[in-house]
Order: sequence, then structure tokens, then C-alpha cells
Amino acid sequence: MEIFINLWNNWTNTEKINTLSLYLSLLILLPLLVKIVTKNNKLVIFSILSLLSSALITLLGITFLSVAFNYTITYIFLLTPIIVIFVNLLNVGSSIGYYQLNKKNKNFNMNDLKREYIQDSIYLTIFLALLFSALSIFLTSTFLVFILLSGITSIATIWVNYALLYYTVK
Amino acid sequence: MKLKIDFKIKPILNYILVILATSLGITAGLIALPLTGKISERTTFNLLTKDEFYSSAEYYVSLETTDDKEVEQTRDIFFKRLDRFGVEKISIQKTDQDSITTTLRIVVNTTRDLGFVRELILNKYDVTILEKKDAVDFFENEDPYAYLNPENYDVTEWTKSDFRNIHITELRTTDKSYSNFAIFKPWTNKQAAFNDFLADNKGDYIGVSTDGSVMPYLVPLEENNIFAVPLPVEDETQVEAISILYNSGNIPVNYSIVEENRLDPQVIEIDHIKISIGLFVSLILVYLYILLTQKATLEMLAVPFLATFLTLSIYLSVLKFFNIPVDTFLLPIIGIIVASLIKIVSANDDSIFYIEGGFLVTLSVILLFGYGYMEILANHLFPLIVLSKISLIASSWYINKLRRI
Repeated sequence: MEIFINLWNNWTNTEKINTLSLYLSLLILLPLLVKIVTKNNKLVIFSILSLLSSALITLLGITFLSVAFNYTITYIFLLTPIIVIFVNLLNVGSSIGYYQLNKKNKNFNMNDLKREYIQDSIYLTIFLALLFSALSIFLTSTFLVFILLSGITSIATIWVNYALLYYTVK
Repeated sequence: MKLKIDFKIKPILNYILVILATSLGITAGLIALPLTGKISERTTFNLLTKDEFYSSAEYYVSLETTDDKEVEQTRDIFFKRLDRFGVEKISIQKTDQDSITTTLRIVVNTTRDLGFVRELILNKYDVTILEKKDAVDFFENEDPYAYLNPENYDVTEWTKSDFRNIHITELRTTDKSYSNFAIFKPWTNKQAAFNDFLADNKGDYIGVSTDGSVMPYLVPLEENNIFAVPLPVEDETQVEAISILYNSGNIPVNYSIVEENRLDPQVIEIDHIKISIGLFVSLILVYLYILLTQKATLEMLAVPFLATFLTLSIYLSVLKFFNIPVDTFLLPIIGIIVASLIKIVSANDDSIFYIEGGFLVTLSVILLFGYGYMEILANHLFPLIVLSKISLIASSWYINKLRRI
């Protein structure tokens, strides 16, 4: 956690306020979008938890890289949370769409959503794993580490989301 | 015997449209290719990378204060100035403190002109409005530059903080040419008082002092709601820098640059040719894998593959055509995000609103609060999200038309 404390202490107030505002705004606006689209409180809670968990996974990933490999975290790693948020949007978004399409069906229940979600998650995982690893062949050094970290944390986010969906949506 | 020609215009138009679309797609693809510069000698389409334009410097600034609040305020204003100027990487750290001074170390890594970066740090840009002393008459004075001497003025209560915005724009001058002016706009609750101040000085000179350097201003006799001070600068970047200096807040302390050094620029060097090829190859591999493992049919994959190819080709073509400089390390990130977005959106029609809406909301928030490379990435991605939508529609139309031919 020392890297984050040092980072925080070195930032100006403007950087601190802007960064907090950015992530807090996303934490409010994206679940609000879910609420507007689905009007389902369980899915709103799920989207909030998925955003929080993706933040935690990213922080853990960066900490692990710094502590276990003694790797210097540079400015480019500030883009990792952004990539993870986009992957999170794709992952959560596909389930939101399925829910919207089928919620009015008589036979629809949340188990159908879970089954659809796991299929979408497998599909997205394979797609991202292939894309990140195929691109990694052409990269070296800092940027390779950044791409690998972003890829691994993105895929981890997808499966943590599945676990969250399983427990929040019943 | 009459010769009847059965002429159907619609299929012919369809053929023409498909041919045009194919030509556009091939052209975009050819321009986007990494070695286009070598294909044609007549016109070179080389991607303008920012890698060679980066330079880095450190500035040690000594502040005449040890008060934490004043130090933080000063750090904030330096950051705001440099960020607004477009400096990509900024670091402002407190390095030393004694009984009366605090030293800040400002490190910048940027493609912007370091000369202007230095000016943004060096100049406090303290602005005060001055009133000519009653005893002074510029026309009877022996010194032809008396109107520039701050000693011929009294300091008024009006400072930069009394103005909500100082807007620099080109206005028409009396000789019908255009020149840059700084328009001082007071806060709403101070507008009336400032108008009274100008009315009291009608027909007389007042001065605008910037760090002790006076710019005289003759208050017009006729009523004028605009307080526009002429700026003797023409260069666009200089105007940009002055606008930032005017509008980034008041540095509360005196300071000076005690040391400055050039540093080796920190550049994430990526061979953009290899990356372009790598992105293309990785996309083909991914789609081939999905096709061969029968997770989707060729019909389901053709549209997103074509849309991804089209989006990225048009993006690279626009960058090359308009010579827009780009950080090469952002290209694979953009490629991954766009490819994933197009694939997921094409496979989940029902999720388009949330996913694309979510992307646009996220990018808008990043553009609002982001800084440095986050902001640069969002600037590139925003039009790409719109372009990806158009590409999906165009690709779907194109594949449908091709099937019917």
C-alpha cells in the first residue's frame, strides 16, 4: 500500500480532487444508467459492487506487481483502471441487455440471466485473452507489463462479477 | 417490332454503392497500412508520432513561505497551468523546507514548447489595476515613456481575483485591422462598482500592472461596457499561454526559479509499424479461433470483423491525412478497446444502449475530470465510439448487399 500512499502524498490537491471526482462520478452515473434502463434494484447493487470490486482488483494487481516483483509503477499504470472499467462495462452491459430483452417473458427468471451471463463471460474472457496475448508478442519492457497487468485484471474482474451476480441476484 | 428495354435503376445503384464502399474501404485500409509512405512516392502517408517531440526538464522553485496551505495552493496553480497547456506528464513535489522557504521540484515530460512551459512557471502574473496620479500629466512629461512607469500610478483595490474571467480574443481596432485584446469580465456582484470606477476615470489613463509591468489603457469618454486591454502578441501559442496565466488563479507567495535542468525525456517507445501489424494479426487470430471452434458462424463474424477493420483503418487514415501527432503506446490500447466493443455490441444487440451509453458517459467524465494521458486517451476514444457505431451499420449494410449480388 506504500506506493499508493506515496502517490497520494505527491499529488497536488487538483489531482486528488479530479481523480476522486472521476471515479466517484462513474460510481454514481453507471449504476444510475442501470437503474434507468432496468429499474431493477438488485442489478443496480450488482453494478455498484462490480465497480468497487474492479477498483479493488486493480489496486491489488498493481500492489502485487510492485511488492512481489519489485517493479517500478510508472505513470502509464494510471490507464489500467480505465481499461478495466471499459471491460467491466462490456461484461455487465451484456447481462443488462439480456435482462431487458427477456424480463417480460413469463418463463424468465434470474437463473436464466446467470446462465446467459456465464456464457457471455466465457466468450469475453476468450476474446480478451487472445487479443491481449496476441498483441503482447509484439511488445517489450514496461508496456508489455502494463498490457499483461491490464489483461489479467480485466479477466479477473469478469469472474469476480460472475460471483457477485450469483450472490446478489436471486 | 418495338425494342423494349427493361431498365431497373435500383440494382444498378446498389452495384455502384457497393463499388464505392469497397473503394473507400480499400483506400482507408491502404492509407492506414504502416508502410504506405513507401508504396507511393507522390504522397507520403506517414503516421506522425509524438515520440521524437518529447522533451523533459526539472525546475526547482523556491517559495517564500513555509505555510502548508500556501504551498499547496501554489502547487495547484502550477499544475493547473501546465495541465491546461497540454503538458502530458507533470510532477510537482515538495523537496526541501527551511525556516523561511519551501522548495518545489517541478518535472515535466511533454511535446509542448519548453520555453512556454518555463514561462508558465516563471511568471506569477499578478494583475493589479492602477489609477493615474492626479499630479501626473503624461502629455506634459519630459519622459516619453511616463505612461509605462508604475510610479506614476496609484494602486487601486482592483486585482485579478475581482474578475471571473479574462478572455483573450481578436477585436477590430480603429485602423480597421484585427488585434488581440484581453477582455476583463468582473464578477456579477462587482460589475456595478467596476463600471463606476471606469466612469470616474473617463478620458483618463489607467494602468494594468502585470508583475510590475504597466500596460496603459485610455478609458473612452463614451460609455463602454467592455474593458478590453490591448495585447501586443500575435503568436497563437503565446496567446494561449497568456490566457492560462490570466485565468489559473493567484499564486499567494513570491517565488523564483533557483535551478533548472534538462532531463532525458521519458518515452514509451513502441514500433508503431509492428503494433499495426500486431493488432491486425491478433484480430485475425482471434476471429479465426472463434470460427474454428464453432463459437460463431462466418455470417456472425463477418460484420464485426469488417467493422473493426473499417473503424481502425479510418482512424489511422485520419491521423495520417491530417498529420495529427499520436502517442504510439495508446494505439494498442485503443485497438483493444474498440475491437472488444464492436465484437460485444454486435453479439448483444439488446445491450447496445447500456454499453454505448456507458462508454460515452465514462468518456465524458474522463474528459471532464481527467488529466494527462487519461484525457488524451478519452479524446481519441470519443469519436471512435461514434465511428464504431457507424462502421457496424455500414458493415452490416455492405455484407447484406454483397450477399444479394
